[in-house]
Amino acid sequence: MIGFYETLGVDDVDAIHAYLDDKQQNLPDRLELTFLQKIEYWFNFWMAKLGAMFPELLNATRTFIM
Amino acid sequence: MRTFSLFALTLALSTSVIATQTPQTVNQQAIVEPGGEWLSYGRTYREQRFSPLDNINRDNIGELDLAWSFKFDTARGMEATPIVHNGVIYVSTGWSHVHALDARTGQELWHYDAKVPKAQLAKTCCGPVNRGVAIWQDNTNAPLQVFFGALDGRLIALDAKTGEENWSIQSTPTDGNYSVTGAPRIVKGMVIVGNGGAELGVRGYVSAYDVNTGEMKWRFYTVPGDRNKPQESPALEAALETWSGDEWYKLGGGGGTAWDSLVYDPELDLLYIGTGNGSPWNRDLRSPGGGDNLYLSSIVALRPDTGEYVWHYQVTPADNWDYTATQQLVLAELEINGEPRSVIMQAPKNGFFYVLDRKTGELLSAEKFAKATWATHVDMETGRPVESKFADYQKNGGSYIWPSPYGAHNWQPMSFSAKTGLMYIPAQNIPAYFSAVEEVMYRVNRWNTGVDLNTNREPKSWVAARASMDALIYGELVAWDPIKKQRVWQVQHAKPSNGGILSTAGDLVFQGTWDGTFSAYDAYDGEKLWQYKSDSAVLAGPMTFELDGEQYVAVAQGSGGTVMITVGDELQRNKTNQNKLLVFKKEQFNQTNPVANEDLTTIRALGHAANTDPDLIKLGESIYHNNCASCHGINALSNYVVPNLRYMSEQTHNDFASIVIGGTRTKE
Repeated sequence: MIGFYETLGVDDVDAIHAYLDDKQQNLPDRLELTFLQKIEYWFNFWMAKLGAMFPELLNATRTFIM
Repeated sequence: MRTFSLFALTLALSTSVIATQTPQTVNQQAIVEPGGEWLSYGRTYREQRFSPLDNINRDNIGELDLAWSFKFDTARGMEATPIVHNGVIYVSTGWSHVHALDARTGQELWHYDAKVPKAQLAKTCCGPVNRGVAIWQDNTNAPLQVFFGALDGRLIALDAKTGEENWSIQSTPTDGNYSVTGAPRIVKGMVIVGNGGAELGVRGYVSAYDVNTGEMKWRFYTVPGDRNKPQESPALEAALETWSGDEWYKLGGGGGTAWDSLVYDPELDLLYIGTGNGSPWNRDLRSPGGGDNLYLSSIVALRPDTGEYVWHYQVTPADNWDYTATQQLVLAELEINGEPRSVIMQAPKNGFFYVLDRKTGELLSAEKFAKATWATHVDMETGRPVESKFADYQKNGGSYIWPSPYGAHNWQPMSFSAKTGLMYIPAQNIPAYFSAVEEVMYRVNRWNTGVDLNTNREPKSWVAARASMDALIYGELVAWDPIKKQRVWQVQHAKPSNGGILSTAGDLVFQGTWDGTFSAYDAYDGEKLWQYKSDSAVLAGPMTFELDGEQYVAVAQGSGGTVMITVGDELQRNKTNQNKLLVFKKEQFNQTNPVANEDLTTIRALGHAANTDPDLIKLGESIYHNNCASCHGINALSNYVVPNLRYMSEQTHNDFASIVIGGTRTKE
């Protein structure tokens, strides 16, 4: 295969995939947000929606987003 | 909305009559009326990507199934639209390979590898992709040839029966930072080809070559050269007046590369080209005294016999944001204000949908088809956009602006249905924070944008970043009425970077998406009628053809392109990216349907503590984003198509300097 394999040997690729698969098995809760994080998420979600209407708001909160 | 004009109906009926006729000789007449075949990048010279075939339609779409697939030996982006003639599919892949396949079975007939040196990758902005081939017979007795542009700038003619090389010429200077990714077009016995490379500093041009010998017939430069020397044409002498200083030339050439859209109108005998962004992006560096910088970001009409300039319309005067006008140009006949008009339409990166009279270049309309904050509107009196307070990031100190350099629409082709009269646009809404570089430094053989590309760096809160991205960034399939200048319907996709469009007389609109879904929608209201789940992103333009009385639908799958590369971690669906050609027809084949491993889409590298100077980390972050992120991903979160630097092996860490500075991997 050309592309992914061009800079890494096939063995390297297999090893990386095995590593990732293993990590995946060990990360069952990694996307579970805490209560405070959920508040932070939805606050910023709607702030961003507002920012789409008023880009000045996005500019003001830039250090927290994207 | 199910209303359509008598004019459109007449056109649709007239095209359906010829649907079953198969041209024997692939010449100009055949490309004008390809019947049930697909003979040029956008099917015909009009590049509407509308097929009169209706054997597959809204009533029986549920019977569509994967007839066969062909797995390519590449793992980079798949952007090509296949060509079909006489039961053979000709399709190109990343790294400049071309395959000829039996359209009935998928059996490979031949395979050509241009053997592009891997070091060429450093000269590309968006991966070693290729959007397709062209085919042509000079006369009935002449052999059919397949033409394509290789990533390293070679234009290559192959024998269509054997795949053997007939001729090969270098269409770009080998010591420049040019690349070729677009499909050539064949016009009046000439192969027309453009090029890319504006980020690295080149001067754009389009060239025409004899189909039999490869001899160059003409070349049209899209921007002026050294102002101290005579320009190549009166059009460039005129353009020179719109540039100030000579920085653009000293910084590599000014840009304006025509890397995708080239459209021929046989009736008016005009060739239209779409030109690219300025180089550098930052106009204050490119042309410090101001000026529109012709013919950047423009639609330009040329005489195809000579390359002589006829007219132009600049969609983004004084480009400052990487707003190319290379996106697909579509020709059609529309009834506007009760008057039939021969128009050319474009939905360029800047977010406005343009309709022009293609005889004169007169602007007929320009309205936003996606979110765009760089300009409030286009003044129809002057034909110029009115820039907003956010646009001039050099003066306002930096601002979020829609669209981002990814564009409201990029290379993924749109489709105009002659039956519904609607344009189907693969749009995306992504803002970007633009700010000028604080320290101006020209770097040879590197990206020189004049824009700080480190503005998408690791945010202070990943939760807030996640939330804002979920809120702001998404893709859309937009059905646009070019006469009423408004949306008729839209389908929202969760992520940007979705596939090109095919519309058919079966009242269907086909599109693939970032997550590997290939879907058919009702052309009138956008209702999803059918879908197939593949194991990688489906981004290329779908096509359809008729063979043995049966209609087929084909599309290339495979992740790639600048969005998928730079924000790949967001979009990845499969760890090895299966590049395939998928071919569907009505029948139940019951093949195994490998779906991408969704679990892997949530993986992130684990952080680890390091006793490193914070200022050094900050410097490294900036160097990474201005040099590496365009391939390896923003915040070092890459699509698996490109090695993920967060998972480098110990050996790679040890060899890091020799790889990055010494280029030791380029020979592998």
